[in-house]
Amino acid sequence: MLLPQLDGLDVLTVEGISQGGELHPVQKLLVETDGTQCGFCTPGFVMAMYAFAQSTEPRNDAHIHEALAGNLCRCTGYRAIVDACKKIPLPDFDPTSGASERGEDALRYASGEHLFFSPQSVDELLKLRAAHPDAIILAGGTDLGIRASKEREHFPKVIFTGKALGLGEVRDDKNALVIGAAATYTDALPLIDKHFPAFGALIRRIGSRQIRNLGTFAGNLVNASPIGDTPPCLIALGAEVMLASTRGERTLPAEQFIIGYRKTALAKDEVVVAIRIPYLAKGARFETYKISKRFDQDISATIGAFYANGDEIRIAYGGMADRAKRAANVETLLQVGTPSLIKIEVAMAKDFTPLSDHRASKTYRLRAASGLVQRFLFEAGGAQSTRIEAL
Amino acid sequence: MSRQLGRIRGGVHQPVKHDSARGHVTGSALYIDDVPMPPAGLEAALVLSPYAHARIKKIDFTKALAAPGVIAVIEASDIPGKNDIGPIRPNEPLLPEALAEYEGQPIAAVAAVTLDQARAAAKLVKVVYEVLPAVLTIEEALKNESFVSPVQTMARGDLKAAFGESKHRLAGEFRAGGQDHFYLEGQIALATPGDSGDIHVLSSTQHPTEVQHGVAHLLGIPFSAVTAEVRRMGGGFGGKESQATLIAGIAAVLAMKTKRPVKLRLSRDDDMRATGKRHPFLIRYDVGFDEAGRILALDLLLASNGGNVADHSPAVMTRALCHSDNAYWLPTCASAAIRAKPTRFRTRRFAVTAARRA
Repeated sequence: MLLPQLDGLDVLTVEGISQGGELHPVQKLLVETDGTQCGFCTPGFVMAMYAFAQSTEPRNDAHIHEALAGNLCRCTGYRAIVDACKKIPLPDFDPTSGASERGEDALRYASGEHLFFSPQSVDELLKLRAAHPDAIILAGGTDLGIRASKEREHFPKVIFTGKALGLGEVRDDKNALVIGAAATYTDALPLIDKHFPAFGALIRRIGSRQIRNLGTFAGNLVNASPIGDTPPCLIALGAEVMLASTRGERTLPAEQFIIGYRKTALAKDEVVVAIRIPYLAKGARFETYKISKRFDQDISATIGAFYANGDEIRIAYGGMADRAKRAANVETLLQVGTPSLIKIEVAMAKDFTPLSDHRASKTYRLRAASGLVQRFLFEAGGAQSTRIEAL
Repeated sequence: MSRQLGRIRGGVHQPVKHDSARGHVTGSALYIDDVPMPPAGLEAALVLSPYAHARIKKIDFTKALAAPGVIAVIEASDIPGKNDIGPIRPNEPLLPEALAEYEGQPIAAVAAVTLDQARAAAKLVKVVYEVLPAVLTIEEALKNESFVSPVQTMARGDLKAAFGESKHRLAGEFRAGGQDHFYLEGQIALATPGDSGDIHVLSSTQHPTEVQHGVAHLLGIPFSAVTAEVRRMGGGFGGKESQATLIAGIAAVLAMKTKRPVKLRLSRDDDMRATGKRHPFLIRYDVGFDEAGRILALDLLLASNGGNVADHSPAVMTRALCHSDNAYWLPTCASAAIRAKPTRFRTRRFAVTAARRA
């Protein structure tokens, strides 16, 4: 994270959770279960456990694994760490009551030649954007942060969306779910789960809790990476992107918003203010399947998103082209019946010429992507299938 | 004596807590990067070869030396002692004199006041290479007989006769891939020159003696003038056995040149590129057996990708060879035979080293 993102927040580190020489219960548990070996990963695990200790989630494997997915141990110590988590007592206070407050004044932070703006309203955000078209827009920073910490890149001008009032809202709007541009994955998850359970299951595989607490839907979309996980889903769901500038507002279908490799239709003075996902009509189906080497914290080799409502079919993929893109030939094929795998593969090869890279070969990507279509058809036909999420 | 040490009274069959557990969970355990930098300490960064095999024609430090904060640069000719850190066999250079032999091999290093300055300056070092053909696969190396150390053979009995008596025969080939150790704490060393031509090296190493000896050779000073200290390691898994000497050695040469403490901490990318991995293996087998499934004859070829130098390859290969019979007795009768012919090949794709099974 960039330093000014922390404005108005408390920072708690592993050094700060034990009081007067007395270990915090999660620290004590980790010592007692022999949950440390080389110890290098331990502070991270302690803090993930500390966060878990603040929640009322059941202390079972599923929840513990999700809570710990953002931390790696290389000394084969997970069993002991999970054992420690099982013994974490439930909190004796309401963990939702301590929400942090937003600052009153717009923050303008300068360090040397670096400028960081933290607008407090959407209006102010639009004005700043108009005045500084060369600034980088920072939402969660889960992508940008790597450029700063790993590539040691400097960003002369940054406009942070996280403090703009109303921009972080997630709300029901008649026939659609509206996700504000500053809303994180975690913010939107409850309503996503309610309306689009398959999308919710996918979101739980994006990064880890730590990442989902920072990363935003809008950030993922504007990033326009060909291997982003939400763009294919948003395209298949027929989502719209709401854009604004001091000149006014406009709305674009997600499909038209991404125009190329890491390229969007955003004008220089424009920002995304919200994403609008129409609710599924009665009888409509939406599914998405992610293929990656690891369950959590991994980038997709390919991801398929499938929407079907009668003969209205939208199929979009990530990892298959220079951007998240619809599979037009496959869609046409599905409109006329239930094709064989070979026919799907032929259509898929017309739609995409994927790259071979360290995540997957071209052949693997084409075959896996075709297999996902078949999976969608099987499931639509009522076949019982095992979801990776259930394993 | 500390309270903890005073309590030691045997301990067999007693559950004993990790003596650093409290330090681990409170964040008070110091890894090398947590140790406060000594006054005037410098940060270092590496210049890595972008080629698997290339002649180094010229290294131009002009721009790097003019960059902000840069105090010193080193190349092979700056090594005052013997440019050799081979743990088992000789002639394994810290920095190559004329030939880059794997993609990611350190060619030169920069010391600057801050880490960002060092890493930025390392990018300004201009190396002129003449790219040479490279042997990249085990198969190519087999064909060219490009070996990093002599072929080892383990044999018993008459193989030809045993195959003749075998009713059944199976032959095939499979591979075991290499991999990075992924120690969570990357390679790191902090070298501090003393007041009498001696040096103290704080190293994240599994083999402090090797660091001590390596640094002494490089600097041309006695072993007694080098103190190698390991407080703790954030994982090693074999990856910090010989490879830590590369890091400690570069920090030590820079420290001696500048007469200032020098810390070398690699980025994860550089760490993965510059240091050794687990050996990838190609295994070919031909096995003869009888009706009951008893093995009568085995002809086995174990070929590992040994990278550019021997490093631990001979020992890793001996281990692979001696474990290749697993729990089986070969032969089960006098006429059976095994012939394992392990060889290591000089390929130029990456460096390899010891790796714990985990």
